[in-house]
Amino acid sequence: MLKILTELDAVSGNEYELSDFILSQVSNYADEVIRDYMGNLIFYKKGKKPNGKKIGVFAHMDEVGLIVKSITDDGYIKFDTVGGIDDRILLSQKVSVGPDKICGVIGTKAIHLQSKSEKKAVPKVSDLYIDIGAQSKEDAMQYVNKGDYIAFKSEYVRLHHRRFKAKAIDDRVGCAIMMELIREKYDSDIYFCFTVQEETGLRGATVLARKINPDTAIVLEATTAGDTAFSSKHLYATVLGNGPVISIMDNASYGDRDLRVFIENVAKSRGIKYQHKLTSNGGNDAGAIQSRASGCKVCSVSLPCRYIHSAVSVADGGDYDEMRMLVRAVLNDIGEFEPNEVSESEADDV
Amino acid sequence: MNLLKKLTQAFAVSGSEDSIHELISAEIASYVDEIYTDNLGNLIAHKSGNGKKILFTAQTDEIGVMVTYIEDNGFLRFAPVGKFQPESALHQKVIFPNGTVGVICAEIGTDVSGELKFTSMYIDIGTVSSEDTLKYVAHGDTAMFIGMFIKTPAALISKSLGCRASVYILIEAAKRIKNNANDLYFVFTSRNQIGYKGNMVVGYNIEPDYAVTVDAVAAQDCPKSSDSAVCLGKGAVLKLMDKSVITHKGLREMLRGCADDAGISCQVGVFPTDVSGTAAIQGTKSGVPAASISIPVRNINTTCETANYEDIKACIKLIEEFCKKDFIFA
Repeated sequence: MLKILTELDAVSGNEYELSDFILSQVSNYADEVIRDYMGNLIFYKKGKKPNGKKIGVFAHMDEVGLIVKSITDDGYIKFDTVGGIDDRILLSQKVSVGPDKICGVIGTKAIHLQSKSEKKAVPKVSDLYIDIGAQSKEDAMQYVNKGDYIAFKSEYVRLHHRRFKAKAIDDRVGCAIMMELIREKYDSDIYFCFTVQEETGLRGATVLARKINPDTAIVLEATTAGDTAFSSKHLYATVLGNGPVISIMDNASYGDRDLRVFIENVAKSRGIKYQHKLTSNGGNDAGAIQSRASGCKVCSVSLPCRYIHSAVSVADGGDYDEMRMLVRAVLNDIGEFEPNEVSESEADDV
Repeated sequence: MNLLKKLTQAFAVSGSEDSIHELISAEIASYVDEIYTDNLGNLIAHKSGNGKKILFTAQTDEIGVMVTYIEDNGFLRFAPVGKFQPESALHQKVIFPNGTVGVICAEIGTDVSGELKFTSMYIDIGTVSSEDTLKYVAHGDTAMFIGMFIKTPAALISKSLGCRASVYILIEAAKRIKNNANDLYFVFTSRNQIGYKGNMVVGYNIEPDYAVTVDAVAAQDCPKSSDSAVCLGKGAVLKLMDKSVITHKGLREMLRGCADDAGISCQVGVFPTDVSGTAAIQGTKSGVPAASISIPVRNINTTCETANYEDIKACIKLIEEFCKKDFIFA
């Protein structure tokens, strides 16, 4: 499933290829299916023993990518980024452009024409272009239009030790786990939400959280792993192979402490490995969900992922299995989650 | 004054605000009709009346640090909770809820006069191994800065003085207001260090007719300040605008009128680089007329925030007068 999902293209704002696929696969398992105006998908599953609480499970469908800005007279495509992409990972990538998935490569000025300083510097987006083999503007315009989305072309490949390389691991892992868990029955009322436009500012989740107004939400994500060569241990944030990541706090949200402890206890009771996200950098849909409408208790559970937001992200199959087990167990037990109320006292009359 | 001191010293690092809630509840309970918390941990004290629904908010949470990694030799790596400068954290003491105290240091060889980064800093709790450290501190624990409350003839100095003085102002105002015609909500908002989470939901739940946020603003009277409009000791600050909000003109002018009528000293300020929780409430649902009453504070977001007690008293008095008014403008 991860292979299929990561090889589909769904750059932010253009998630239809993926959302059509998800609809075709799992619509039968939900009591109600909604695709809203932004393109978010909501699958509502009635619980066997609902307790009046609304539980939301969120994963975003979109991935970072590029968009066609203009076409030069020579038929080269100038582009801009969609979502947070490091300029350094762009050069020499294979991409697929527009609805017809025209194959192209990202190029820059030939090496013998570059000045000394250009050779040393990382080429900026404005110095790069996509070459689809077109011979002129008119030629290129037959295949490509301004505003067409561009996705990385990158196959799912197995590496050693159950690790794998793919694009869009962020957040197809969340989608894959939800598509599997949607098929089961739960005690609580659960809204499985596939959101759009996370990478461009949590936009889908912002609307969705207002619409559903859940009491509790679990956000399934992929998060950065810094356990790479040339990095000090205290900067790793998360480590491949140490299990799913439970967030405490990041730039966009505070994980709810009671919910976090509940999830940790579910993991401990079933012998599932987990780790904490040991940085406050980054942010995801939890930030939008937490503070929309009347507010919501949130916690993110993520798959550690190296080279996130690139065409060659690397993650661990063992972590994926543990994450799937953990989320399944949490959804089975979520009816038992009772936050500690801090103070709920009727005061004396004045 | 004793209450203000207790409030400033309470532990309420953003996301861990339970203990200050107990303190506030105990203080305010006998002066309001109900107290409850919402889904995000805002503490809401309601003093009911038949008139307009007016919301007052004050932020409870303070900056702090979160443990991100424990070194083999026992030192703690950390991330900031909230926005503050690495320079202002260097060589400060922090304390965890269990009483463990640590000192924030920079790695040997770090150019502390150059660009100091949190990633090259650590907390020393005096231990010599990770096993030793784990007896006292775990990953993800938060600690607050130590900054004692000092009263001088001229000023008050403390950590968290700005936000806790705001809390103090709401508590004192709630105590003094009697037989209120309007329906008053005093909300102590939580989790504001990341994007004003608490303020974002409070308006949705209460649906106020008017909202006034009580907060701290950076005083503009320090050496080489770009502007010297807002000064310590010149009274409550009515914010015209900041980077995130333009306050409601009618509401602001009404506050100004209350101050002038009652002889309360007040000043007007513009804060082009600051953001505030007022914006979050203003944009709720179909919109809420929102203004703010602010305390001028020097050295904001450090362990030695400095304010003037007369300014704080002016804010309390202003809220008291304001609540007596009928709301006649649209």
